[in-house]
Amino acid sequence: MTDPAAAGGGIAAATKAARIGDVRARLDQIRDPELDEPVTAMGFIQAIEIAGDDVRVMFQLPTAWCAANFAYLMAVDMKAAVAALPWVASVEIVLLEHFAARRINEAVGQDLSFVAAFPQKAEAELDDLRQTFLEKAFLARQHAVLAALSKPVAILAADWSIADLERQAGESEALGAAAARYLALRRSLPGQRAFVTAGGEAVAAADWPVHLREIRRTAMTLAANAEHCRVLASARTA
Amino acid sequence: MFVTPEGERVLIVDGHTHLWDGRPTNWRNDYGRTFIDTFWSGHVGFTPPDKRWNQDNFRYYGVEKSARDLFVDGYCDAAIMLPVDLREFYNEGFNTTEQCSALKALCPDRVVLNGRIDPREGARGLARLERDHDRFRFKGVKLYTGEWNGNSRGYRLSDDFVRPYLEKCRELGIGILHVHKGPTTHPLDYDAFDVRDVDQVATSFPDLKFVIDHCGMPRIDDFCAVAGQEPNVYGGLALVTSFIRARPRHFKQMLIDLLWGVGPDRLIFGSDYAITSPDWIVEAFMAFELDEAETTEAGHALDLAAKRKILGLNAAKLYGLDVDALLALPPVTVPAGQARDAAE
Repeated sequence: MTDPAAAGGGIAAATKAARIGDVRARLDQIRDPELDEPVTAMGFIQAIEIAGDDVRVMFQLPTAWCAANFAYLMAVDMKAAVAALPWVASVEIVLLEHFAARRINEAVGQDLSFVAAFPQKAEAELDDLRQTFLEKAFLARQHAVLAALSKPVAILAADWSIADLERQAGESEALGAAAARYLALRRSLPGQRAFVTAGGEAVAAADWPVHLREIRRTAMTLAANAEHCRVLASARTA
Repeated sequence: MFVTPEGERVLIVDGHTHLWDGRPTNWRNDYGRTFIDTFWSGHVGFTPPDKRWNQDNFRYYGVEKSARDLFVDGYCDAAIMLPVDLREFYNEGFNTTEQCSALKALCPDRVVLNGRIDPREGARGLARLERDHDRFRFKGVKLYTGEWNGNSRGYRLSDDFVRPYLEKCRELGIGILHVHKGPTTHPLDYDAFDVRDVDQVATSFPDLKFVIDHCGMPRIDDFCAVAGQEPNVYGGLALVTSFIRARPRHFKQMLIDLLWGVGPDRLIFGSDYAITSPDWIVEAFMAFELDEAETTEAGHALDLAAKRKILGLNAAKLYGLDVDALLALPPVTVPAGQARDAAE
């Protein structure tokens, strides 16, 4: 072997490439909680560096002024996901070009809680924020399923069971993909109704049109927000 | 004024404009750089390629260019200016009332110069508001809730120290509060873009009008919920209308929801100049249409009457501007030395 890294006790290039692939696959699972989009698809990941069993992930958000709390959640989630790979000894997450980068990077490195990271500036942990946006994502994914149905069918879908939805989902590819994304979140809520509120409650027939409009608005907001981020991020390379 | 192919004259009021100094000489620290760079990203992302400026020109464009972009090339009959200090990032301030007053001096009949308040400044800030008001006679003021001030990284309208400022505005006869709902970063754990604090002050001060700039983006859903309930809350469309070219599908979705949730009488066009310029937005908006199904969904037609309201009449009514007098003003002439900036 002439690979200097291998000679120095490092890993071969092929192993390294495979490991970068491992890390990227893990990062594919991490979503920007505010947008419900994978951090990889949003173009946030700037670099993945492998040195033996140590990993460093560099990420950058569309602006230096993106919300620190969401940045923190993503950094923590990325670290946990990569650390779960069997070969990984250490993970460093580096947020670049952000107003709170230094503090976030230090705190995530030390596995501090958010309040411990920002003792003067944060009043509570981020669990509620995460839950709020999980609920928005749930409703937006539900909207995507109903939008993939024809309008008359969507109006009738109010009392479908999960089994009904699964049966319908086999009929078309677009519906299948939307349904799979939705059911991944739906299954953690109780009951057999396919379409429920973020709290897991059935929607009364009389409230169904209002519910359809509300979830449409939630989905629109998430989608427009993601587009705004893409527009700003694309300008960096324009 | 915009004139349709059928010869209809449409009053245009740009409800969201600035005159800023984002040059490196004015940067107090690196935040000064990152702040104007974020605006630059918006400029590049939203502006049609053939109308983009170069970066130096974007950082500082001066009073004559702004008069040209708004009133000569931009169809605007009037412009509302929204100052913000940002002295934590810029030595002389970024877009202060003083800086903006240069455009008011150049085009006094066409410019509405608003003030700015920062309720964290206590008694000193109240005294400053009185002094500024004595000098400029404001109809409205801007609150930039995301502005840094000392140790604070932003505030909410529901914070206790805001009330005395709203009472002072009421006392001085300043009836319009522009609230930028943007990345308020304090407390850092909050959903920083939350607009629900608007609900509280709008209910407590029913005689004041609250214009929520950017319609609460990225929380249009929450904004619609608030504005739907509170008749004294308006949607400032700056940034929303900028989507019309680059992301027309998303623009349409936002517009449908805003028409449904707020209605055509309380939406106010704004270009967010100089993030981009009004000319291309006005042209695109006048050409924009909703089909029958979309109109049903929006609950309102986007016909010429609705476009007139959104592009000018709503702002004119809110600010008490005389529409006929504005349409009858002589054209603005700007020295020829500053030719329109070509795309670089």
